[in-house]
Amino acid sequence: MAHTSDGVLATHFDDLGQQRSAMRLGMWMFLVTEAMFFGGVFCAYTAYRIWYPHEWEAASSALNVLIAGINSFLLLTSSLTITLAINAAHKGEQARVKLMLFLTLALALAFLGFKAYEYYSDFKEHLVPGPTFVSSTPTEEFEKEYLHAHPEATRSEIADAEFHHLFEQDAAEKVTLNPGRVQLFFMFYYIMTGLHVVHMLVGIGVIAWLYRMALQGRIGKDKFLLIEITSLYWHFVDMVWLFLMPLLYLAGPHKHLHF
Amino acid sequence: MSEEKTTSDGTYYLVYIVLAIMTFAQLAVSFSGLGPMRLPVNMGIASVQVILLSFVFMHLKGSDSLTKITAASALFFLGLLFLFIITDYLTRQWLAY
Repeated sequence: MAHTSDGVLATHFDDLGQQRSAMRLGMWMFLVTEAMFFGGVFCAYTAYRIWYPHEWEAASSALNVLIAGINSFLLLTSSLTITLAINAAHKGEQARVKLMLFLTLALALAFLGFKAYEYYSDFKEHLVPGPTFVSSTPTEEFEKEYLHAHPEATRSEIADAEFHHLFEQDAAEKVTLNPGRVQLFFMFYYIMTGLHVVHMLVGIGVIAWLYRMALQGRIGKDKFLLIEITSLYWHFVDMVWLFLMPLLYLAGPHKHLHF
Repeated sequence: MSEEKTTSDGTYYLVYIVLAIMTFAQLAVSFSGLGPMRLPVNMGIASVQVILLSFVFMHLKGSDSLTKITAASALFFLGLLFLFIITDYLTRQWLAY
């Protein structure tokens, strides 16, 4: 039997136990390569974090920790629901499998919704590295307010003032930050969270496929391993997020929770 | 050997609650006046969360030795990656005499 998911023993295995172990090991091997893949980015982050600690902390404080916190709970809960789906499949509880897979999908999509809103807010606040970054191009709101108080101010003076207002004002010690290094932090922020989002999209695709199978009544007792293998990947995506939280969002001090 | 050991739903709920409390603790640390120590403390909490996830939710606890060695190999090679890159990058400004 060449094609098998579980329940049917392929000829090159001794028994179902060995076959299941091989399937799990395959996903774990893949996850090791994924850990190395993310490891490279985390390692680069560490080197710059040690070099530019002030810029890293100040830039981190400008990120939205409320949305990140909500997203942490959404992902952790989705890890729980997909694990409960394995147990339900094991017991042959079809309705519960459908419910748990649906909840996992809904939580993952809610995560992406919040993330999209966060990216949009960052874009509006001119926190995207490049010529429109807040240190070169002030936001319209700040420009209006600043011109009201200082009618003679030039655009670059306003940009300097907004940069100071955003990043330097709340610093524990008096520091002058390098705008280039602050932008470097944001590059890491977009690349790391972006890679994470791409991994989530892949996971959502696979879970949607499982959900479709469940709707068609094709996830019986013998197919629990399909959900289990997918859950290994999903938990890994969750783990990456658990490290992104302290590295990106919680690296600097926070004073307010707001959208 | 087709009988599978399963963890009860109750254990999963319990671990989930612990994970959620730890995330609250991380947020609390970021609002505290802990200063530069907040990063190592929060990374420590995240590491415990990852251990719980891998051992309970990913069933590493009941896995066979080959799977455990595979998971540990990720840590080993990540350790090498960090050790050599960080020691190189952080000592480049040292003068060669």
